[in-house]
Amino acid sequence: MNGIDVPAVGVSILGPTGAFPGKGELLVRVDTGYDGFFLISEGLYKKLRLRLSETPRQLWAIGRSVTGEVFVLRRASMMVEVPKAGLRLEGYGETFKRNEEDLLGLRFLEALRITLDGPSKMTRLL
Amino acid sequence: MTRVMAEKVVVAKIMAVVKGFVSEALEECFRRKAMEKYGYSKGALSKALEKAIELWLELETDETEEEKVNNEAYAKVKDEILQSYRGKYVAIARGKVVASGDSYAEICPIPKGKVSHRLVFKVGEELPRRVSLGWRVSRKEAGLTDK
Repeated sequence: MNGIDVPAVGVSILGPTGAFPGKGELLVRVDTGYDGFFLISEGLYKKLRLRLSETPRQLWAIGRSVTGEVFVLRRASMMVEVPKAGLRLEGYGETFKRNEEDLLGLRFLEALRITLDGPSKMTRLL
Repeated sequence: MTRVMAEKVVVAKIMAVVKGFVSEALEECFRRKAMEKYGYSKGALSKALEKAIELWLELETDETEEEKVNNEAYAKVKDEILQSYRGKYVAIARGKVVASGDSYAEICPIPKGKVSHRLVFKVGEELPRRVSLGWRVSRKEAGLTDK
């Protein structure tokens, strides 16, 4: 599906400002070490104006990294489309201060069947 | 080798004392958790207290007035919303429920008027409160602050 060095899935995000990206899809790395839905970099969180779609603070989570760092995860409702699979998923995006990563986690993968083809460097949607 | 050691500068962390009162039950629970996490050694309570203060500051410091109003409104009408809108999406803006719908797509577009914060959530949905973050996750350096 992608031809880059890491498992990734092409998505389109539907938030308060509409669909992002406007054309094509955003290639997002899959990380099974993250057990949430969609981890969003602070920059993208701002760009998508997700403060206009946040869940109440009472529903935010505490995130813990493998190195033991603990931080508050801001959380916003959103919809993610996987154009190549013809899927639209209601879910949430999370970010934390100074986060620069965009990652799809285990909760996102619950809705997909994918295979990783290492030699071809491909993530295939079934 | 000796020269390198001699040039090495050791910067000691300057520590401060925080005094305050909490309920006995909270103190006991905090003490127990701190010991479980950091061991029954000197400094365990301080480490736990430092983490707790860091988390609290992170949660509180960037809250805008509009965000505060919306979250206070949610806390007030939470039970009411749960009874009336279970399974639906609800939007709260300027301290009031402003929209509801069966899907996120129905209520996600930005409302008319100047709004800088809005709560949008599926009523009754249980979201995980603790999240493990993968190997990739690390924070960008914050850098030095200006005077």
